[in-house]
Amino acid sequence: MWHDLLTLSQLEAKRRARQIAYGLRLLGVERTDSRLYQAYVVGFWLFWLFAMGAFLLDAVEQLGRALLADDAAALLDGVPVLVLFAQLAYLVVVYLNPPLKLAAPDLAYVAASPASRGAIALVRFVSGMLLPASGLALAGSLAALLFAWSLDAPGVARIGARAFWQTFALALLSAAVGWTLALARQNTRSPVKHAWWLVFPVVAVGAALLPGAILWPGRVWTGAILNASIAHGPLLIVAIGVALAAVAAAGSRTHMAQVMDLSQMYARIHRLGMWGFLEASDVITRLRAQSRLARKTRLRGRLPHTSGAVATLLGQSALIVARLSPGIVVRLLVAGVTAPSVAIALVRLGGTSPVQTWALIFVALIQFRPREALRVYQVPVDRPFVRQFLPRNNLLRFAGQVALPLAIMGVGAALAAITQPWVPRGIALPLVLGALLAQALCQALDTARLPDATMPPVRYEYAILVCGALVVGSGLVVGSVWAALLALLLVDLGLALLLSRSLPA
Amino acid sequence: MLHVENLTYQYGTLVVLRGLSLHLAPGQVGLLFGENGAGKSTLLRCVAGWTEPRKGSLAVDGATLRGEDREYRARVAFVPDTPDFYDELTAWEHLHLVGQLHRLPDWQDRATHLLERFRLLEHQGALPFTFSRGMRAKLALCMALLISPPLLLLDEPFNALDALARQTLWQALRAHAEQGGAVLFSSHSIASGVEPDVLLHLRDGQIEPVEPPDSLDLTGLLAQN
Repeated sequence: MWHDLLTLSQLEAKRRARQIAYGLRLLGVERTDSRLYQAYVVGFWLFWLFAMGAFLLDAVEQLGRALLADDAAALLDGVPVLVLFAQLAYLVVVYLNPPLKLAAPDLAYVAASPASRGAIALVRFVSGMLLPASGLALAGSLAALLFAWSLDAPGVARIGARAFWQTFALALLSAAVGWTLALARQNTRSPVKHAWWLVFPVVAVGAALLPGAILWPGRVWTGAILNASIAHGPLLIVAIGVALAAVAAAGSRTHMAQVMDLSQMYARIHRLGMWGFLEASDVITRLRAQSRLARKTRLRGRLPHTSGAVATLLGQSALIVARLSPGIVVRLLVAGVTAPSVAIALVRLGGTSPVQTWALIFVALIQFRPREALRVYQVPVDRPFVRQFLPRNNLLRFAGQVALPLAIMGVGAALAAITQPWVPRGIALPLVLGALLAQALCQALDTARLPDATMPPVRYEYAILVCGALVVGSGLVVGSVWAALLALLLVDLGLALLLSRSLPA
Repeated sequence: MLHVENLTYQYGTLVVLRGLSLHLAPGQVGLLFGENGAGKSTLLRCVAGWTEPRKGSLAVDGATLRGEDREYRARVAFVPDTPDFYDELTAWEHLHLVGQLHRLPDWQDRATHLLERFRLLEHQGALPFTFSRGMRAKLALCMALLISPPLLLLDEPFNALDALARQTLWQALRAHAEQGGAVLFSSHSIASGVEPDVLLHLRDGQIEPVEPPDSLDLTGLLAQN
């Protein structure tokens, strides 16, 4: 173990050195440059960092002096709970995205070697967490200085230094707990691995019964400002030692084949580039779903024996939703709640008359397009081989493949409409559901061709603007929300008719 | 069966197909060959209705792509060289979906028979994205053969297949033609025993009909391209 730790640490140090050399090249320093030039460039950047740091400190001091002491004290009281939430959020992140990943050379040489799995996990943990923990420590130190200046606490520099070290230590400690749980979950077989979710109720109960223990990390940090955390130092060091040992222990039971599979999947995602998460989210979703499905030894559900195209497609869409992560139902519900909630809030704040209200609602409708609901419907658009076996009527396909996810979204939308006490439910519910259906039909038309070759394709954004203007215009001209509802129903009907006549893109 | 008239297709300024015409009668198996980049896949994609040609008309069994789009597509199935599937459905479920959507009365027996012939039966419960290239090609062929449309288009179908599957495929294509269907496939190499009725040499964006030689000469002919 120790020998492996040493070897792997040396390997990691060399890799980091290469990365630093690359970073320095970007800043204008080459290894072959003269010492004098290197000193000049390093001096220049150090001066720049010093200037920026001084500017930042000055800004924090001014903000701190402007913040009232009572407000700062009240904010400081809430910090332990905020820290707890941040820790829980990190747990969710490592649950969704297992933290132990290996680079391509590691996959070929390290993972395949008899090196201790615990050592591999520990070295990856330390190497991966040093930079983020340092960044957090810097942010934590600045936040502590803000409070210190606001509260006029003595020994500001000491408080900053103490907050830096304690934030760094707390970040390492929290990350180590997250890694340990994630590694343990990765090594465990179902159904025990689903027990991982018990962490959240346990933490909630713990926070209620033993707030001192659960909120301890946050209190350590606030103690750094209130000069009450000197005794926490040794305890933190011991806790980090134990947590690192736990990472190594959980890592030693790592199923390396699983780690290699996941690492390869993340390497493919990584290849999509910096903006891949925004521009190729569908590719990433597909890669994740493939990786999850490939690990399953038994697939959930089966295609029902039915007669009729719509029933078959409904069965197919239900099966796909069942086989995707359970998260898809939550995502559909959240997506259903979001757009109506935003629209209702905008109407509540701005009233129904101002143009700005409707402009903002249209922006929200364009932004929150029901992509998840059309996921199954959308698949054949990118895969024409599959498309040719499906019904040629797009409306038929829509009815079969979108009905179920749209119904789940509809539940979310209905909840958003009926839980607002000041909204008349009788009208809000059909309006919200009609608007959701119109959005879904516009999204489906976005990927279809109109039968008349001279007609331009129906883009989602324009369709929303035109249909929305018709509905809102009808309501405002007649002066009745029922007129808007009638217009919305006609718009839905028209869009459905257009979709039934459309051809595959 | 298939009538292509004056078909023109271009990628930007590069004209790939120049007023090409070809005809395939029911019961015929046509082999499309030509150099890399000659436009074989483009021609097949145009005929399948996956790509819109710049000019020309396409008709299968009287239905034209411009006039009766849905009827035209119902009569054609195209198996590309890299078919894609639903990630969440198993191989059997793909055939189940296709059989049920097309209301084939005996789809279960036919699907089982096809999987057996292509030696995929033991993998029927697996997800196609975990398959090798050859297995994916076999599943795609099974799906196309299950619905057995009047016109079957295949892009390099023999490439990814093992020797036994090549023979099976050729027998299936021949059987399809004997039942009145037509087949158009592209290939660079040919398995022994494969004897297409029509040879279509695609060169300079045009079809040059070639007299069907025996299979030994055919291998030599393809080797020149």
